[in-house]
Amino acid sequence: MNSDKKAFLLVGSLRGSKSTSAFIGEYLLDLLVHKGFRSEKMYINDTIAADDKSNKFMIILNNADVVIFSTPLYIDCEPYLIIKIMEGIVEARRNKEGIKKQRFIVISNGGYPETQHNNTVLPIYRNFALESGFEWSGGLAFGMGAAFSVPLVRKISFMMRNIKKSLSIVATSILHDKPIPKNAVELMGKPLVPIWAYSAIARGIARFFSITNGAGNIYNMPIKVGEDE
Amino acid sequence: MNALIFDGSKENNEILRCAHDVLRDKLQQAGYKVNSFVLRDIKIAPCRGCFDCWLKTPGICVINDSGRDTTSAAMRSNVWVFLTSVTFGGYSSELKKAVDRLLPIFVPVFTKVNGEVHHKLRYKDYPRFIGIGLLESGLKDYIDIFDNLIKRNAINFRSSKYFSEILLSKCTTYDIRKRVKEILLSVGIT
Repeated sequence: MNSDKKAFLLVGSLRGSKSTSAFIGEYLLDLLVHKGFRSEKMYINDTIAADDKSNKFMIILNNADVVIFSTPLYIDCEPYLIIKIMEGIVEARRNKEGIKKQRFIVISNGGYPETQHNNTVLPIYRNFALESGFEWSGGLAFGMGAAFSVPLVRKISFMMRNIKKSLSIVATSILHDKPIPKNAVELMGKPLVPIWAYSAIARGIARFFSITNGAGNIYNMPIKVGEDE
Repeated sequence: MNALIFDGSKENNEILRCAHDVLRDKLQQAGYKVNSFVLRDIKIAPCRGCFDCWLKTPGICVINDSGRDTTSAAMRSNVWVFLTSVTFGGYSSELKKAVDRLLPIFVPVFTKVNGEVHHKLRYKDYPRFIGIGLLESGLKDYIDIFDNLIKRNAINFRSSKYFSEILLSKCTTYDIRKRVKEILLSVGIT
């Protein structure tokens, strides 16, 4: 039992509890709870919106033994608010004494089907971990992140199989105070469906929602390129 | 011709301010009208990831703030310059708040670029792209990450030419002037 060990999850999506970042991060957190960890979770909205005079976020972060960021990929790197939080963490922990050993793990999900679009952002997170005094345990990444916006997808065992296996391996490695093994990274990065299928479904969904929203032409060009305002 | 400078410096940093001024002057000399945004002075709400700019109001962010102005200025420009302190190898938060709000310039349909999936572009022409990062010391890892980020963004933006440059905090005004001239030449601006 690890009731003295604490895991802290920060969900980096402004879509909050409905987001892919929340779904995957919370799945890992639940696995850790089953292995005896105590858990805390915050959404990025809470950290930046809260009038945090009590400095609740930093207190929870500094007390955790394992810190997990589960975040979307925005235009090849971290979203703005995640960078802001990371800058704040480094500033707050600079020259701070008595920081205990803490593992840091990131799970990055991108909307493109290929996992490799996350290749630039993972080393950024690693450098953040090192600059802020965490022990870098590794990063997981996957594409087709938008698929999990569809609740039904989350229930399809076939599509979830590799992610579940990966997170199970990660939870065990955390329990044994080890970095994320390579096989967990590879399993997480496997596509849910063939790329052509994802692209076709994405196109269909875009058409569907644009019609139901009354959006008109999804290729609309509201900015007169080349003209001054 | 229009040029855009997104100044993502966190505080009044001498090097990046000098780079900003030199870039503005050189671009104006080359015949560009320069639109520059010192992003720390501008309130831009974070991208919500709601996809409404694709599926409800195509091409326009539903958040009606300065993020619409910076995106509009970007698409009216023939060259973009991103200035930033290199933060863990990537962009500063100030720069990223404007970059994230560029999402409306894409459409929610995929295409292949060099065998890799990317979003189709909403508009016909996209700018040349320059990324300039400030580093305290020349950490190779940070330089490599920054170079790669600029390259990956240039692919997404389908920039016809792009350039990534690192300025070290010890560089002089002379160094900056010389490098800016070389950078602009490398993307075809004389």
